[in-house]
Amino acid sequence: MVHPELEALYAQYGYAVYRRCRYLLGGDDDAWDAVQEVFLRADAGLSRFEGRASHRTWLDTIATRHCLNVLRARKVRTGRGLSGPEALDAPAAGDLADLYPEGDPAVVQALTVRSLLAHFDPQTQEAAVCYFVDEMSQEDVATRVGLSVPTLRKRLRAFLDRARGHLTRGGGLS
Amino acid sequence: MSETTPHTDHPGWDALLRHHQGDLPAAQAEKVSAHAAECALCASRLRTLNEGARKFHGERPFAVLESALRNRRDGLGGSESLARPTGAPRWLLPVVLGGFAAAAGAFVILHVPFADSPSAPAVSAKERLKSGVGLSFDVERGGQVVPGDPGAIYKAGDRIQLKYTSPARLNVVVVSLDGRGEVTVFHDDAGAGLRVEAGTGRAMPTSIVLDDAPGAERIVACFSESALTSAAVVAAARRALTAAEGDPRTVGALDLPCAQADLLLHKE
Repeated sequence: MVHPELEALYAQYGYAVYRRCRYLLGGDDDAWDAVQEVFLRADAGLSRFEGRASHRTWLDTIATRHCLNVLRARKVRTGRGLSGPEALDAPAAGDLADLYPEGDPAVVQALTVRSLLAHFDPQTQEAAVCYFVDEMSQEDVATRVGLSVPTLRKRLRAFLDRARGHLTRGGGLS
Repeated sequence: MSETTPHTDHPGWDALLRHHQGDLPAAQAEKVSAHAAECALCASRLRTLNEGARKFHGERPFAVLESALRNRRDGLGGSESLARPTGAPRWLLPVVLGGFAAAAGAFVILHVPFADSPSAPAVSAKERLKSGVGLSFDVERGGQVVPGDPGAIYKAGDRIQLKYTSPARLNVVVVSLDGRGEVTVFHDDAGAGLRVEAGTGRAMPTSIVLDDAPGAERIVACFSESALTSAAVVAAARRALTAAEGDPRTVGALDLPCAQADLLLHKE
């Protein structure tokens, strides 16, 4: 028996959760597995949900943090370092084809950001995804990740600086 | 809320997604609709969202999710009924309970010694020390015991031996906080703090075997000179977990008058 609100949440936000997981994890099976994990946690947490954030923000935060954890686990499992250019994944053409319309210039940026996430702390990872991929405003990102706007700007600048230093092929960040 | 991307005059993906979900205030929704009517890129993004959502919910209606969640719970329920106490974190299986009869009541006890543990190992550099107390662990995998690394990913079958550092003879209650919002007492003495001697890297009397459920788990040790009840620690841990929106990784210190040390473990 699931929480009575879960079905409505899934109807409204299930695809957004899938989309987030699909972007970060890169494959449909992994994304669906993550969706289940997110809604499992949501089901467990709904009775304690206090409404300080919207359901959408709450679910997105659960999904993002879960997927970033999965990505960190993948890096460890495959024995790849978390720093240095050898840890970069080259953007894969067509990887996000079902999430972006054909010819959308944002897809290159989204792939580039994903390939660089492993180099940053979890808070910066979340901020980078919100800003560069979701295209949220700095004010909204700062609220989401719990940073002041000036601190967020420093983090995003550091992300860009490091991205420029590491990128060897494809894409770019604006 | 901003409805335009910081990079261009287009609504960003976030605004389009909120529009698609019906989460935008009416005025912003009208603006986005008006923009999309004139903008091929944003119109195609909205179409992509609509088509993606239709496909997703067509292939995976709520009944499919509900069934998947039920299967996950059933799978976990099988292992829980064999060897875990009610309310225990789903990936931790206490197997050596020594003299802690009260805590052992609901367990199936398997006495498996934590073999070849170093007698006086150095405390991990990654442990968090506060007020001279600390918490670290060794891990046994494939017959070898090595110092644990909180940054590593552990897997089912790994055996964890918690070790404490205390500057004096103190009472300690050790609890775990998991991603399902559960708080479980791992070490206490019949509902009160367990008396521990001063020392560095001293082993707790219980080791833990990881089961096959993934997730992050925060283990917190509360040290106090005064009487410290397990119930008070559990209540504070629940408050902290709620404040962290159920995420053990971001849980702060418990609001208790005690010295605290903690570890964050990850399991694939």
